[in-house]
Amino acid sequence: MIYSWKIIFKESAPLLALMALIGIMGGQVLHRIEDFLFLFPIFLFLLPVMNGLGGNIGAILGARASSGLHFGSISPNIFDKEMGENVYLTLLMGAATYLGVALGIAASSTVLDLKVAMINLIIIIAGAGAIITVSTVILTVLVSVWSYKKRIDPDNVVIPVITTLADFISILALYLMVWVVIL
Amino acid sequence: MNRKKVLFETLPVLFLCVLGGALSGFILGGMVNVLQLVPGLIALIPAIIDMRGNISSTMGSRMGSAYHHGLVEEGLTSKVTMENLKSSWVLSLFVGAILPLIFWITSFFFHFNVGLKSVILLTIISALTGITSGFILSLVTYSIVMVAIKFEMDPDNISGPLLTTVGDVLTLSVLFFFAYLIGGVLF
Repeated sequence: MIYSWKIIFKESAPLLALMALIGIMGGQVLHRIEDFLFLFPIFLFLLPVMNGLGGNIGAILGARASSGLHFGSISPNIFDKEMGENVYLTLLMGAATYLGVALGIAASSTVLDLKVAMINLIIIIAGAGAIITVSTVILTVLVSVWSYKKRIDPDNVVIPVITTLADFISILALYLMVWVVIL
Repeated sequence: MNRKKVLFETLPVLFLCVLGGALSGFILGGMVNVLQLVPGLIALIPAIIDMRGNISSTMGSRMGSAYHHGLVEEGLTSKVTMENLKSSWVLSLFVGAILPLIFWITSFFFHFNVGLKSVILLTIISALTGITSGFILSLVTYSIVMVAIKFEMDPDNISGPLLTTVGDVLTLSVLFFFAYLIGGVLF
């Protein structure tokens, strides 16, 4: 495994361009619902937090799966036992963090004046968190095994794909939850 | 695999990242004026933040794998580090330049009327933000991996979340700065 910036660029550039396209699509959706955003500041506030977490959870699982695949401790099979163990840990992480976030933001909601009832806030965050975590984990396993089988370095592929998809999913999940709970 | 070690290393970092995310939320909330000043900027934000996070965390992930293979040496000029840094810089430049182009093209499909002046403005802002934050983040990536190794932590457990979070805060701040400077002062 010897790195050369040219090879990294060749593997990463087309993918990053594709991810930029998806990211921009997400942005265009935001642009579309701009009025909704300015009406519910809670959405703008929660977006980076939820986006970040979804991406982070996927990134940890992705980095661990990539190292495991390189190392040979995980075999390229979506039902691999060691992979299952990693998935279990990631779901645990997701549940703990989103719960922590929900409680933390609910506790500070009186200070922040977010104009949303505390119970609604918890439902929005927990619901969106569950959607984001489960879909991110499934996608991470699929993408890492797929790229390894295609002989593309999973390190170069998994994180960009997952963080971008997680962002897109977060925008939709949050919009869905805010829409269901508040409207 | 040691379950406790994984959770013990990841959870504190994840919570730290939540605080970072909240900070980005505040920055984004405070940007509303600038967002209205430069039309179309809001559509670029998710992609710009993502790309910076993507470029640095893939470098972190590669350095993590290299570390597990025993290939990482100290010093910025060592081969593995230098090639990884170079790839980050070239990718930052590349993505910074094509983002506004993609934005411009997709705008037609979303039926937004974006003027040529806006596209030029967004291109300058995006390219400057890309190069600046890409360069800083590549050095941050190297530092995080080195610090993790020094404290005998698995870089895979912390570099991804830390980088996407630092990337968000840094990129939004740099973007804010250039958008304000170019959109607000110069035009």
